[in-house]
Amino acid sequence: MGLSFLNVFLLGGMALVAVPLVLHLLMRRKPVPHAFPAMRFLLARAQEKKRRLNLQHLLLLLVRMGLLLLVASALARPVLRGSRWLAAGEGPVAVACVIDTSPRMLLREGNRTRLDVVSELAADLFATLPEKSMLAVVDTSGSGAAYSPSRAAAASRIKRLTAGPAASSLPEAMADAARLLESAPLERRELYVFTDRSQGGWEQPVPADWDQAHPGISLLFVDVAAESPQNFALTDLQLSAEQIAVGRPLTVSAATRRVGPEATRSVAIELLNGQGDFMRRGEKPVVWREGETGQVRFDLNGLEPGLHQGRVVIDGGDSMAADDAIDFTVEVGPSPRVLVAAPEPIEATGLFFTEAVAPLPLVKAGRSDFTVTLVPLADLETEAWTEFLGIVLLDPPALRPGTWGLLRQWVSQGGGLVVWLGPEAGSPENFNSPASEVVLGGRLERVWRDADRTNYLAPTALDHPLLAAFRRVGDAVPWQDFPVFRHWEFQPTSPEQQPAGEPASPAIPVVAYRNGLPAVLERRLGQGRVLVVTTPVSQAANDPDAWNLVATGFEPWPFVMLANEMLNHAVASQDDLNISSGQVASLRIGRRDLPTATVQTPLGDTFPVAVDQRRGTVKVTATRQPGNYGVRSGGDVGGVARGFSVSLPSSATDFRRLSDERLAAALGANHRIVADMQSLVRDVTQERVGAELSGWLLFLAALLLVIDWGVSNRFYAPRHGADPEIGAAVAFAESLDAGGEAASLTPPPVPPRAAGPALPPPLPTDFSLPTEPQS
Amino acid sequence: MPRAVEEYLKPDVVQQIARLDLRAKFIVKGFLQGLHASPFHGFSVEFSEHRRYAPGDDPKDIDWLIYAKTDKHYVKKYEAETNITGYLVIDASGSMGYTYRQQLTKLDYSISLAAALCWLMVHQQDPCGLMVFGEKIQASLPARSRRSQIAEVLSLLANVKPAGTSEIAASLVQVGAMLRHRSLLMVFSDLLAEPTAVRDALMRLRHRSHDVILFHVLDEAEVRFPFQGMVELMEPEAGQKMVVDADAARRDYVAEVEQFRDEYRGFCQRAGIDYVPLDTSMPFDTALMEYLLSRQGRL
Repeated sequence: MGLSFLNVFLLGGMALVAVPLVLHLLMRRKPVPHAFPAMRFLLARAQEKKRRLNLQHLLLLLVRMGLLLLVASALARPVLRGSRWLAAGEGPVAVACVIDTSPRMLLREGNRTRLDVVSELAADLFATLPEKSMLAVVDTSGSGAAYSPSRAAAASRIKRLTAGPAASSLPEAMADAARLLESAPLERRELYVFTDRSQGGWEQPVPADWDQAHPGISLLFVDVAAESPQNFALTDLQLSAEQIAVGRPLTVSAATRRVGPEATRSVAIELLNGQGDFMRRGEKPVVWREGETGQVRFDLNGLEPGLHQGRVVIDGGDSMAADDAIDFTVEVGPSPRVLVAAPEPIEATGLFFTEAVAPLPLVKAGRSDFTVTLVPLADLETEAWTEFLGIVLLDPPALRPGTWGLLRQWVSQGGGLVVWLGPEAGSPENFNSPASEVVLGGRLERVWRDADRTNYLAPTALDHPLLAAFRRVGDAVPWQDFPVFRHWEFQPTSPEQQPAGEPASPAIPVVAYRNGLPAVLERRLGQGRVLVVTTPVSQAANDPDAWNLVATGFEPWPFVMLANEMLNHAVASQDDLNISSGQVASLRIGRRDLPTATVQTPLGDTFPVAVDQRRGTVKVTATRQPGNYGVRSGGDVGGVARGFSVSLPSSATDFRRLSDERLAAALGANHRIVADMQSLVRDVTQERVGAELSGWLLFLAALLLVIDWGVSNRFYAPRHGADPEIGAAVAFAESLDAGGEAASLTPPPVPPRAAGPALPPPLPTDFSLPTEPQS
Repeated sequence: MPRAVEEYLKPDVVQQIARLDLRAKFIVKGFLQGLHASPFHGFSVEFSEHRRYAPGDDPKDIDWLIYAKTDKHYVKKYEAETNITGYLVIDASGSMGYTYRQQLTKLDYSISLAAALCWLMVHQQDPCGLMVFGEKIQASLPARSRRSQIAEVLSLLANVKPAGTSEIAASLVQVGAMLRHRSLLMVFSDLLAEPTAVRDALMRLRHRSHDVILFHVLDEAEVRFPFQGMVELMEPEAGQKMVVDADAARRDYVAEVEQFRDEYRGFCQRAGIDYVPLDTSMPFDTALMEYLLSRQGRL
């Protein structure tokens, strides 16, 4: 809010407030001195009277000063504006319009999208701008902030705005616009934010100190939300796996969300064929209930080896198309080969693990998730590691540094290593070496023993991808039935001690024991992963020196899940097959002789990208458009064909309105928001032109005048009750005018006490003194 | 238009008589002139009643006219035969010399009134004495009933000047100690002193069987507080100064004075003292009437 004056020079009249003050100080009545013996009767209430007298004088002084101040202010014609000092009426103004261009803004109501509404409101806003104003349109697509050359150009730009995944949040766009405004040479700067007040739009609130950080900018929010929207939405698509083995089913699930009355609408799953057309592979009717979130799930079987792209789609259209379909990409191929190295005899020591990840019945049926090759640890280096996506070391002894070096090189190129540590490690002094520490990301400290069988695996948080499968089970996993008697205490290497060279992350505990020490640790090493488990699964149940019953307890299904998930996580592709809009997609081409690749967007456009020939990967950064992308390199024949899918984040389509409380929390308690054309124009007018306050000030001045009259009459009214015969002074004054009876009260000049004898007045004729009695 | 007799009992008229003896005579004569219909006929030393002659009576008092008519001896009875010894006790402190806009100060007023009472008493054959006090007894005359006593009293009163502080209580105690016989004490004072001590002193006088008439003389300004606007008041005895808004303070001041008088009035009623509140604008007949009523009650 700002206050300005149309007649600033008349503010000089405020100096008149000094007049009552000067009169009060200088023209104060001097008290008339009188001798008065009966002062004792005054002393009782003297202090109280004096205080009251001072207060009365002060009150009258303030009232009169305030009266003059109000009159002077009213004559100066004060104008209240939203902000900024405006000395001379309507001047040019720098205006920036921040417009939310997320897909939510495509929500239709009354056959108008939110962007259409923005365009109309902005046109009216521009019409109110003074001449020579500067205009800028800033959207959330990350296209940069710059002033438009003219008002028409700005309006045209707004009309051409298209919705798409946001590259920046609204607060970030506001900050860009604020920087642009602060560079403007004009004194007045106004920022208008067009928003649908949605939860998705304000996940990131406006900084609380925005006003303080940008004191020269007037901020106004313009609400363009739909009054009563209706929508069917698909969100949060989940795949059972992005890369599946041939013959394994693919499970696709998505969340359904309804805004509006209950309705029934089918959801279908479709796959792209070779001609680029979607072929429907399944359809399910779904009952959409108001405000409820549901799940729809499809199982796809018999997928041919190769790349498959498809979508989950709602049958029929609605008021917002952006959330009616979600695309996905999945690759089908042979099951990954895993090399498992175990101590002799490998048939016994490797049994539990191989049966957990590749059960014999599934292997025979050709439906196993992994193809396992079990070898003695001594023969580890004799295998061709390049044929395997994963290596599992079961209870390894101290390896020689050369072997650790080979493992480091293999993992760095994308391999997945899982190490189950056990008694074969011997002593930490023997096992630990710089080479082992580079691969494992830590060192063995000591063996922990738990004689009373109260220690077991106890995962606390299940948010790690490795534990994703356990989320469905939750607390029902009977980890306590599989005690751990001994385990290694593993000390991760601190980030400062990480050796230079291949980029690596420190080992992070993923699963802990009940005693709090880490059971499973994970680290990134180059393009691959290393998982370390600090207790073995290679000992028989009847082994008196068994370290645990993890794999040998009764119905050890948690171990089976954990072993599969760990191996899946270790050998999982590093390719980004399904990403959110705006993320960078990284894909392995698998060949290092191809310099470039061609990316085909969902809109059919193509553009080239360079291949990182050292790593054999390609990165695609232009991923704002949701849909299925194709990446080809090396030509149609003999070349490489990959692909990925881009989906919108749920916030991009979440147009549910924020409550007033949450809106105040997001925009700040003092935010100003308008919702329609009249409010916008009125607010803008009041902001820019202001509201004259002269009338109110004159009213207040009149009020003060009345108060002054009342107060002064009350304070200085004659006290009739205290004067038994009215005021002697009043009578005295009357006697001067009239003479007569009142004159008897007239105090004549006091004769000198030493004056000579005065003659008595003439006695009345009818008055005679009685004669004295004669004795 | 001739003035009423009462007009001549007003202080501003009396003030014009410079000689105190004339002033006293003027007051009394004027007062008696106004008592035509009053129940106080026969006052003075004139004939009051007859009674049968008894041996030992002065033969010169035999009323021969009655004897001629009735052939019996009757003697005239005079009021003067029932004498009351009166003392005029006058406060001559500095505060008594105050007036704001009246013709007479409180002391002048008291002296005029005392002179009139003296004149009246002596003419009734009542012995009349005088005591003047300030901080202590300054002057005194023993009570006598001879005519020359008037001149002596008036001579002393004419020379009284207000000065110093007032020690009313101590002075009254001293007065009580000086009087050996039951007397009528007519005290003239503004009583601007500590009330408790003054009351104690008055009680001691009553305890000695003295009759007391307390003439509480205040200036008209002290009663009505006629000042206006901001005034700086100074207490003459102590020199204390004070600035007040007279208009705002008047109501409370008058209430305080009334309360002060009421307290004295109540005390005097309980103690058997005649309390006569006066101010210097009031006619003298009020005080004289009070005296006469008091005297009659004591006969």
